[in-house]
Amino acid sequence: MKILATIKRTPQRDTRMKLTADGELITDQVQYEVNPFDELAVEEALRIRDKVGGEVVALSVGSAAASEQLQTALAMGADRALRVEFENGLDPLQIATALADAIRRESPDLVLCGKLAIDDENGQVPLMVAELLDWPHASFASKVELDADAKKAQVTCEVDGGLEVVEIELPGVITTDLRLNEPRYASLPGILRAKKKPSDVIAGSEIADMPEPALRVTGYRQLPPREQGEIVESAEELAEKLIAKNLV
Amino acid sequence: MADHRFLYDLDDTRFVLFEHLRVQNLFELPAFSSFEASDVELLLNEGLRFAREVLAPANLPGDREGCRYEDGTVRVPQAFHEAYQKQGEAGWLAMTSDPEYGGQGLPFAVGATLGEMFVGANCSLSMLAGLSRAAASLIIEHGTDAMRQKYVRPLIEGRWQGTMCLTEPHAGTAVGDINTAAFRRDGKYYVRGQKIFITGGEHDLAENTIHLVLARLEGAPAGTKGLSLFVVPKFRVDAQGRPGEFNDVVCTGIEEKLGIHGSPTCAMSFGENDQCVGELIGEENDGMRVMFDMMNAARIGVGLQGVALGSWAYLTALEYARERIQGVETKNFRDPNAPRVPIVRHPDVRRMLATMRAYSEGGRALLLYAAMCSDLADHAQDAEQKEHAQRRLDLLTPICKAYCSDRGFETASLALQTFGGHGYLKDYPVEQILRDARIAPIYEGTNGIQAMDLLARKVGREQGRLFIELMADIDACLQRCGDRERLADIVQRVKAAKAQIEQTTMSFAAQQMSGEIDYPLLSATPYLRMLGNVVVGWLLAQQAEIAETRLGEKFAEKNADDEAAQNEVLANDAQARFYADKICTASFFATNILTENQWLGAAIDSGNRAALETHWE
Ligand SMILES: Cc1cc2nc3c(=O)[nH]c(=O)nc-3n(C[C@H](O)[C@H](O)[C@H](O)COP(=O)(O)OP(=O)(O)OC[C@H]3O[C@@H](n4cnc5c(N)ncnc54)[C@H](O)[C@@H]3O)c2cc1C
Repeated sequence: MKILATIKRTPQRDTRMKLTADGELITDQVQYEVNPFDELAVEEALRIRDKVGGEVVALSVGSAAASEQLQTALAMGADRALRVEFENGLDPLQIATALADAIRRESPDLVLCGKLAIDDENGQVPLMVAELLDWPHASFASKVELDADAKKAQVTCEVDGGLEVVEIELPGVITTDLRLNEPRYASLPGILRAKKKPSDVIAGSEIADMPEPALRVTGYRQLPPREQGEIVESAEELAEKLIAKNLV
Repeated sequence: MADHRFLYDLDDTRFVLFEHLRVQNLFELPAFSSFEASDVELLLNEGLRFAREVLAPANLPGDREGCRYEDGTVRVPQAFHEAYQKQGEAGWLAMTSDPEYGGQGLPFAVGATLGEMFVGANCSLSMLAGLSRAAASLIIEHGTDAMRQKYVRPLIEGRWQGTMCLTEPHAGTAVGDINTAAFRRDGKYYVRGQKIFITGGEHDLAENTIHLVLARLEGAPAGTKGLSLFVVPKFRVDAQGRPGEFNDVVCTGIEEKLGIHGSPTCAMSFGENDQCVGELIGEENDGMRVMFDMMNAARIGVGLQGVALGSWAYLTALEYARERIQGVETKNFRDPNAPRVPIVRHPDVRRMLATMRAYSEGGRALLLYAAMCSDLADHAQDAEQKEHAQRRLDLLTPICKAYCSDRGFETASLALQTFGGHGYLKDYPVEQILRDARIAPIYEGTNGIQAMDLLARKVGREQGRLFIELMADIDACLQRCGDRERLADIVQRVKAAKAQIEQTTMSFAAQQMSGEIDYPLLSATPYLRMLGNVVVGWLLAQQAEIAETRLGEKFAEKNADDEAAQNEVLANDAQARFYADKICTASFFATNILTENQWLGAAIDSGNRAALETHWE
């Protein structure tokens, strides 16, 4: 079975992003990591491969810097890395187009994606990919089970207020939610093996049918600082305050 | 609650490894030919992540919970179990160990870098693993084949704990007074006696404990020359490597301590029932020499503890100083409505930050340099280079241990000061860092003993050869940097300090000739500090040299030849700022810290004997 996991390079999860006076992100001190939801995707891909055999390919759309995160996926245990070369700043549909094109070339049996990337929270990319490929998809998976001949997947999805179990035919796209698994740390031997694994690059110009950008980031603004909190003495007092503020 | 996040200076580490010491040169040696610089990059990223996400979260609960003794067993903090297991599974415990026994064979320079992360993130836990690794190295180096087969793998995988057992209630510094006895019976050796303060002597992370015990064989001479070293497992290990029969080794209690609460400090009783079998490692009565292999490695490890904790303390103080708003800028002090500023704007706070930074970056450079020397001493192909590296390592070992542990604690103290009253509280990590850092000047031979070792056994060796070689290297660096205007002041100050330490060293030699012993020993500690300052001043000057070159290149790329244009480059390029700040660090050190040597040297040269003459006894 061939499983493909998508990877995005995102700022480390506890990073406090800072802005310049004219609303640009200051990125030169920022440390990056694999988007945590994509890490779940890699982990799930590895577990499935280790059970049913096959190959795990880690795929990223991005500049050369993203190879660092692909290396992490290789160190975790992925077999191969593939990067579609683009400078950052593509919009969601463009990213989805690049991913879909690379996926067509690879024709995997299953694509696993993080449900969103923690930087801009564009949860739409995986769904666009599925649409572009005309594949079924299941979102927010907390459990993935394949049937015996790996032609179908039973996916437990986290929906508002509960769980929904759906079945999709493969090939298909599944997005991961937090409870799906606990990603492993790259082992030291795994890290030392990573560079010996194949890594390929697809030039951005080779991507077919790239749309014009439909979305542009015009600037960033800091959230206003949070107001000072208040400690109340009793539940009654809390209730009164909430009522006074028209919150209940 | 304020945050206890572990912070690490990855930028400085990268600079030291790749630009300053050029660790990539090691990969040309056959022993390390399977590694590349890109591996190290990935290792640093993943290692730091592991330190931050797995080891660090167990650090604070480990401190609060501490170890518990119950009826001969010791429980380490609950949070340590999972962290330790993950660390073993991921192979981090075995990073520098011999590949033949399941290690990864990384150069020590890389292992020490990762070690700094791990020890910083969780000092108590990481020092335990360090002991096991060191015990494994000793067994590989000096043990029989059978011992290697039995003990090494489980030690480097972290399943078993290794310990070093020297200290006894009446024999701490005076190792030669050790009373633990060894005797022969039915073709075997048996051990009997009490040891105290044994780190990791007993705990529930390990299935078995492998003690390396210094003991005196019946009939052996008094003093260190009568000590032999024994491998003493808690459970005897059968030919298949399985721990089985109990070996009459009991933990009789643990100590309540100032810091490293997660590290069990155990009182051990060996052979209460005369059933404690030990395997002799090395020759009879040659135990001290064999044990020294482990002690030397452990001394570097203790220096690393100083750097790791000091550096974290500095970084957390820096973060605080940027955020804590207090007072107005000095120039506005008469204006009650002047904007309040973060304390990083106050000159006195900047003095503390600059001092901490100089200690941290200087300490890291010294340790990683010593680690490189160790790699070359073990694996260089050229015999002369190998021996030279070994001599340099020998000279630097007591300096690494004492200088870095002292500076580490001083840094922690300055960091606490930077936090003001808040630093004294448990809300921030500094108070724990300070407590954990305080042990480093004490164990593995107190810093006073390191100073005596430096003076008598290192500087005094081969008519001062080790010292003279070091001075020649310093000269070469000074000559190279001599004509660079921006470095002129640094060069001049390092040169002056070098001249002074040469003179002080000569005067020791003269006193030695005249049979004077007490006075040089009275001066040993300040002498170690002087030489430590000189070595660090030299290493930071090398860093400034590199930084100046790179910064010049950056300016040239942007055609920035006037100050305004250069400031523009600095404002937009973090890497350029890094290089500029490197020069600041070297300059601050040369001016504010290396100049200590003037009064230290003056005091030593004075011949003042007041401390010797005071009537205390
Ligand atoms: C937390 C902790 C963990 C430890 N772990 C281990 C371990 O794993 N294994 C182990 O074997 N030991 C261990 N030790 C013991 C440690 O190495 C000793 O405490 C240390 O060597 C000093 O010995 P002492 O405590 O008996 O002090 P003493 O030897 O009594 O020294 C007291 C003071 O006198 C000075 N002094 C003593 N003799 C001289 C001299 N000849 N010249 C000049 N000054 C002198 C010392 O520098 C010191 O300042 C540990 C100790 C602690 C606190």
